[in-house]
Amino acid sequence: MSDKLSQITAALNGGRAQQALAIALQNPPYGQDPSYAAQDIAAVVQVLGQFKDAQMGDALKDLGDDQIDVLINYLYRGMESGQNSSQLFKWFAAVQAKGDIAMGSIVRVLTDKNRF
Amino acid sequence: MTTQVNRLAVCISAHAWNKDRSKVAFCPNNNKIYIFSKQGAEWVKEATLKEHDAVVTSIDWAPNTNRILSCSQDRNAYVWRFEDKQWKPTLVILRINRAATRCKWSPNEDKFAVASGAQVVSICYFEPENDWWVSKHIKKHDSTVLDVAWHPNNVLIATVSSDGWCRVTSAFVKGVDSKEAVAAGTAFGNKLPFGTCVKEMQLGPWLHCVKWSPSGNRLAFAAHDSTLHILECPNEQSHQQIAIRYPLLPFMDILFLNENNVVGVGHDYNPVLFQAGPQGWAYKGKLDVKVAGGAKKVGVSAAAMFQSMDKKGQADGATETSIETKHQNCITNIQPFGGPLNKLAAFSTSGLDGIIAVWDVATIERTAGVKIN
Repeated sequence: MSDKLSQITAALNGGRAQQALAIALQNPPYGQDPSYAAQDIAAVVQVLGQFKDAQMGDALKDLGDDQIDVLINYLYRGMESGQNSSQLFKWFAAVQAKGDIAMGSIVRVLTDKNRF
Repeated sequence: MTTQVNRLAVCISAHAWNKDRSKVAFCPNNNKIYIFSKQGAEWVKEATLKEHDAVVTSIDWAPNTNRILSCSQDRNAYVWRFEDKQWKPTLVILRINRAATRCKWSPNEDKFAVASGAQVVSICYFEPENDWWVSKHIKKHDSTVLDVAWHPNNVLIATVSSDGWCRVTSAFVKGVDSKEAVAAGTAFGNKLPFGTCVKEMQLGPWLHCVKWSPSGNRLAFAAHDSTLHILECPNEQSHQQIAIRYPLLPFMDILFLNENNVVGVGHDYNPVLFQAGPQGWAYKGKLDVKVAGGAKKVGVSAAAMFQSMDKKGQADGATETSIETKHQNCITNIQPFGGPLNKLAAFSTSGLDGIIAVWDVATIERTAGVKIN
């Protein structure tokens, strides 16, 4: 996991936010213990915070449908803490602007038996 | 032929057509079944079937023997025969202690299956000595069985449940089925005594509906997490399970239009097409699309603006609040309507809005830009 965190930090330091996003959406912490999951979610939220509103649409273009599912999942988990919610809501709006894609992803998050 | 939209009730829980599609039996979300027939351009109520005590959850009209099967939340099922110009009911002793959710005649119409909240599927067959329908139970699920589908060989049934499992079980009844029917071997073996579970597939979320393809070589079932699953089972050796995620709300019912096309209907009020192509199964999009050339909103008239300020407290008069699809609420049922079962030319849908809509496949191919047949 620290592997994923260090890769994200490296990408962010190098100014490659898009790559950091792709790394952040790999290996969601299913089945891991809550402290690990909390760190993972915090890291992903940090990456999401690096994007300005106008850049979100472009960032989403490169993501596949599976990654969008994972992203929506992280958005919900990130919102649970109550911090950064305005930024996360903007991401939510950006995904909805992409088209129908959000509805199926939201249902998949809500019906997921394995929460992280 | 454009899509026919008929609002026959406030809310419809189930519907079924007779063989020549001149009559439709449906339940208007109460304990009665109405039979409407088409007289010219009008739908006329022909009969009311009153025996159930609670909402009728499912109706199946056997095309060849012209018997109606209905099951209800009152834990009963009735087989209705048309005799002396009336529909006469025969009670079926299901022996369940919870609501029945779905009922289906077998392909040969000599047996039927009733799925129920008692976690049990009742397989019923007629016993001529006592002149009544007898039920045998298949108890394999851990929760409400939400749908049941008969394989074309009249022996296997697929069931899906809110326990997240899809199971294929044998409903072979001695005396009704002959061993020859399955001796040649099915895609699930040839030793199939009653109640043998030949295939189990576990998914996490509730599974709402299941259907076999016309040849029985494919099994499709839809889950509540907006995924459609297809089991390819052409023979005993190669079974392959495919999951298709789609970006819409979950389905309540599905239908095979032909071997390679599945239509799902559900909470989006819109039939959705899935197609098997050279690259495998793919989500092809919604079928109820607005035909281009509708009226465009040019600007907001002053009258509309003030009206919406009054009604909604907003100055924006251009907010569109009408629902653009044919159905105005969740579609819960889809039935074949025209053409042979392996190459449907039309299908009908009914939903919580009380509308029964008949869709023509050729028209849909044009308006939605898809190639189905």
